[in-house]
Amino acid sequence: MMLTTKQIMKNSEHFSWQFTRNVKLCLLGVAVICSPQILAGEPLLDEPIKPIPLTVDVDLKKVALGRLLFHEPRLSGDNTVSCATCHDLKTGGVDRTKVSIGIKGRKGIINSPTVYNSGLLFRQFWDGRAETLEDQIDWPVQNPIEMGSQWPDVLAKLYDDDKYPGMFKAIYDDGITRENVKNAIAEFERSLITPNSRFDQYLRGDENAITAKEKRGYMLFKRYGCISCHQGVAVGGNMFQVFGAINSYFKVRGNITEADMGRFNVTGNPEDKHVFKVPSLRMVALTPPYLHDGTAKTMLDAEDVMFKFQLGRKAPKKDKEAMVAFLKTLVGEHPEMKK
Amino acid sequence: MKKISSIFLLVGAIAFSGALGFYLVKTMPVQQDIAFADNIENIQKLQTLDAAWSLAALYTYSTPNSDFDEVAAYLPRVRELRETLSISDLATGDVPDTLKNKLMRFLLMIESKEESIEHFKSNFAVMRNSLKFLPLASRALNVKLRKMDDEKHAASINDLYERTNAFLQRPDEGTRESLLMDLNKKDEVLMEFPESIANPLGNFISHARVLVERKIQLDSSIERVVNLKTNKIGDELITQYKAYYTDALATQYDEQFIHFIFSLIAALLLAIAAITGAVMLFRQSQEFTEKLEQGIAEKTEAYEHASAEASGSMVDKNLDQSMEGMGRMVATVAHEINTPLGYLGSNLQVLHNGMEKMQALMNEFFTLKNDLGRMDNSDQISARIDNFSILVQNTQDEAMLDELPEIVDDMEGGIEQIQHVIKDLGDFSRKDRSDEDWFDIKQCVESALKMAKKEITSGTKVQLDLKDVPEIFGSPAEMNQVLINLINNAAHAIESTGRTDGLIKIRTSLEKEQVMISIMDNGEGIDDETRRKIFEPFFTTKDVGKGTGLGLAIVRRIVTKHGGKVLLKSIPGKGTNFVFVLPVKKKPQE
Repeated sequence: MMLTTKQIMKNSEHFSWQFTRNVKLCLLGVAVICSPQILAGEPLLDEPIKPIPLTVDVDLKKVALGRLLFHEPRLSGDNTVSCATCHDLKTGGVDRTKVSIGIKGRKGIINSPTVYNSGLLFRQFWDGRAETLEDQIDWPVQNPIEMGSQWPDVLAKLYDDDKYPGMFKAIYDDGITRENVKNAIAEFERSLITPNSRFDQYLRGDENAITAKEKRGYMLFKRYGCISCHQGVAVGGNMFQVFGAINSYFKVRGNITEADMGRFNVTGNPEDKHVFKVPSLRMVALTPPYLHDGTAKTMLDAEDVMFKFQLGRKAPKKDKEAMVAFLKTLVGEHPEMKK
Repeated sequence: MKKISSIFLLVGAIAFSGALGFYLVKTMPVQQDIAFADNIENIQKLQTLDAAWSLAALYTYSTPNSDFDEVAAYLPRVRELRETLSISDLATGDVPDTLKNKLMRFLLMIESKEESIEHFKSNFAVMRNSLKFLPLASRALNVKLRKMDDEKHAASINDLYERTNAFLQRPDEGTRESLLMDLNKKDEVLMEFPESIANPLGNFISHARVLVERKIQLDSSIERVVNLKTNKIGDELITQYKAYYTDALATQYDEQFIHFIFSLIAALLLAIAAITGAVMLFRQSQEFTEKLEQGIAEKTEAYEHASAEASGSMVDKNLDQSMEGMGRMVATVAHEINTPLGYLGSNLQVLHNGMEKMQALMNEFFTLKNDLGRMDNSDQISARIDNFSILVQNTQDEAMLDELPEIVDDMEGGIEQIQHVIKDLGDFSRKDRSDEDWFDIKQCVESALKMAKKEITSGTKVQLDLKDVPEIFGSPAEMNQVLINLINNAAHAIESTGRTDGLIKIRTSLEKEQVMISIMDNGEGIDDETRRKIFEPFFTTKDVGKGTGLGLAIVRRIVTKHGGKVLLKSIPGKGTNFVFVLPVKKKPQE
């Protein structure tokens, strides 16, 4: 079922929410009202992981337009690739391949991260080179191995369409422009939050929302120190960290590519060599393979790498499995996931 | 005549309106005023945001379980202001290059702050982990090595652990290099150990190395975050911009005056030509002058408004300074308390594990006791008892029973350290520490000297020149503290020069109805920058663990309370002279 603007508006009116130009989007209409935190015990406020807000402030008209553009193959040079090609909303916001395939079968150089919760991240891309979601869009659209397009061509194609000129005009005074296309897509992406995960329910005070094994997994996640970097609302995504914090990953893996240099490519600062944005673990259970090079096939594989190179210690398999169980509780809800 | 006059009048009126129009167009100041006020406001906003950002970073640094969301949340707001300013007319418009460069410098500074904050976050996350892990790793290794009777290696691991800790308390380049070298040496001989040792030893070395390597980076990134002179550059920028704007306004007035004269001349010439229109013209030119005066008055008002906003920034500045002071306090207290808290935490974890093992052993003991009652075969009994002995032995090893006294000692030490910090804080804030009475400052100096003795290095001489002075009314205990703090500082100033001919001179004398106490040293001296901040609470130049930065703030508070004053003279590299004077009160007749 499609979550149409109309339905959301109906929900919103139903709960008599403030209805201004920026409508409060209630992504989980019913869940908000009956969500367990109202019935349950004390919320856990001092945990280093915080629940995702249940609602997000977005402009619904822009979200609707952005959704169309997100699925629009005409953004690519040969009209074959849309944002959704590599960021499939039904499969966790990724394509579940090591590296994505762009136009004309061209292979990417780094693993595609999920688009879900990307609005919660402090910067975009593994190396953080884009500071906003709007800025981010320029890269895939113009990158010859991704969508391989030019903005003037994109705008011309959209202009020739039946629906776009009207839709743009209804929102933006200056109609179809590069900035407006980017703004609409970004607004849609900002609406892609995944609240109300079982773990968030636990944080909001429902002690039974996760099992004893999952609780133990969370305890271990903190005790082993994963939490040092994977913290906050997105369980990551708010800082940079060197890959190989304790032991050198790239010495072992070898064959260092430009993408492996990470943030160094952006700042040129030697301190930033092999430094990457700490990825959010919110959707980790749905988005294999893992790591920037996509070399870890399963969550356990990824944990092995993390233990060896980031934490510099060993853990029994039982503990790692408990942590995988915990990570699975982080996946929240979004209507697009179920379509 | 009437016709000619009206033609003249017409010509005059047209010429006059032309001149007036020209004048009006030339003197539209409104747009620029708004831009000026906006720019000033944005610079100030960025300054405030920048100060708050530092505090947020320090809060994260000093709070257990903290996440980085708040620190990251400043990014978009800072970025927006930075972008607005970088495309403002101050950056791109018709302003002098010096001003543009100053703005660029300010913005670049903010940008470099973003980078420092990122490095702080990354370094802090890694260090926070390794700090927790290292004591556990070292203890586990020790137990394993001792079990194998390998005292030699156990001792060397211990030594590395202690040195790493000492380095973290007081980091310096020399220690860093030698420590890293020794860690690397250990790493090279890893293969000589059995695997059960090599693995945990490898982990221990990796973490110790990371701590040593990152410590200086972390400290310098925090230093950069807190001490970046964004506020100063921002203030300079505002001052220069204001000065420029005042000049520009003055020039504009001059130009307006010339336009006015031209318009007037044109109008007057036409007035002479159009005699009949002259009276009319003259009246209009009077209106015109009024208009000009009004325009000037409006602009002056706009300028005064902007000035008032700029002086509002003085308030902000004071706020920023107190925030800087608070930031320093948070950092110092956090540092002083966090280190002992860190090992209290990890020791507790060890204790906790040990307790669990002991509990299991006790349960086993009761089971055994029960079972023994039901057994009659002595072989069976002795087999069970042997098994139990092995279990006891294992528990002893795994529960680290041998280590327990040391662990508890460590924890007591940690608690003492925290108590010390708290006591210092208490001394600072306490209002009525002890009773007031008449007392002799000479005795006070002598007792303070005794108490401060352990801080004075052996080569340092103390010269006393204590003249008889009237008794002082006040708190002798507090005055004692003032003297101890000042003597300690003198001793430390000498110690840090490393000289062996240290000299501390203490003099008391009566000058102009005031008792003067002077404490002079030939230590390292104090530079101007430090001097400005030296009496602020929590300002310290000493290493972490050596000073809370409260000493001189306490001195000033107590002396001021006694109606006195603290003065300071210092020549960097030569020495320092602290002088404080106390008023002489009339002793009531008994």
